[in-house]
Amino acid sequence: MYQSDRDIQWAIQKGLLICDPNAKIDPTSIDLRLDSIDAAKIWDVDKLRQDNDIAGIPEPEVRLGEFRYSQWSVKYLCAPPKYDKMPSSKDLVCRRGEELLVRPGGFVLWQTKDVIGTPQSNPQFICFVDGKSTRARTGLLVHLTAPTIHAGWSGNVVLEIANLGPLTFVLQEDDVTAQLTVARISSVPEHTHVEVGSTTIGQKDVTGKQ
Amino acid sequence: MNQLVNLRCVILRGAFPGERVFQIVQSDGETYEGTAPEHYFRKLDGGRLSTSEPKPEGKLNGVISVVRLRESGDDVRVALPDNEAISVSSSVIASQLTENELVPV
Repeated sequence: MYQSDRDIQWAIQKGLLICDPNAKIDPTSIDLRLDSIDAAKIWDVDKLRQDNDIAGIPEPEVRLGEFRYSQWSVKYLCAPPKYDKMPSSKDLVCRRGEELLVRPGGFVLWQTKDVIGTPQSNPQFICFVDGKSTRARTGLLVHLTAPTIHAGWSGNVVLEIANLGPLTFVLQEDDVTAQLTVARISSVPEHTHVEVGSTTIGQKDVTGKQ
Repeated sequence: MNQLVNLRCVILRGAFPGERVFQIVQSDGETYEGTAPEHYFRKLDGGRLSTSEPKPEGKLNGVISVVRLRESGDDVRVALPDNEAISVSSSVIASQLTENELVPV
């Protein structure tokens, strides 16, 4: 069952929901604010293209079945480039002072200022990241594919923000582009995490190389 | 009830200020690498990581808070903050956590 503002406040006070006590709580959701502009990153497609070129791969390809976020994020996420006044700029995301411009077709990852989630121990709630309806009408897409904050996880959420509309978005720190809804789970999960085998992706043999 | 424990790990910087990459040696000798929010980690002296730790390109030894699922001999199955589960040797476990140590600020 989704939680109302009263239930959300109660859960925060009891330590069952991790959230800034001063966060803005709507009737059934909590606003999520963008962190400082330094916490906005884009994929460095040029760098990947160069690396792939060396490997004989003609495109900046990513094999999603073998995608290792921990390695890719450190290697290929970078700060957006400085603003270029030329309207024909190829940069779909760029920084103008303390603002971020996201042109049509642009995609940016931006950490939330708010640490949210549920305790690792005996979680009783699950959270979902959702967009803000009026802002969505501009063509803003926020965190649509994987909105679930699993029971037992907490942290700054890295929002996936895309511009599907015809306008250029201007985003800055503290802007609210998304909200969090909270639901009580029917019981504390027996297994809170996915079991993986020894051949799981995300593993690598670096024994002796550290 | 599943228990929270600290696992020894190597901590590296992540792509975002609130994120760190961690490496844990599994019981089969392979190293697992994942990503987790900063507050799941502690330095070996028990202190929290600062926003500048570890330094860029650097790494440090520390611990990560995980959920102990079950044990079989020396093998311990643990659930990681990145939503995966792995098996480690019991010698990798640094300590059991108290409830007060778990709530991030």
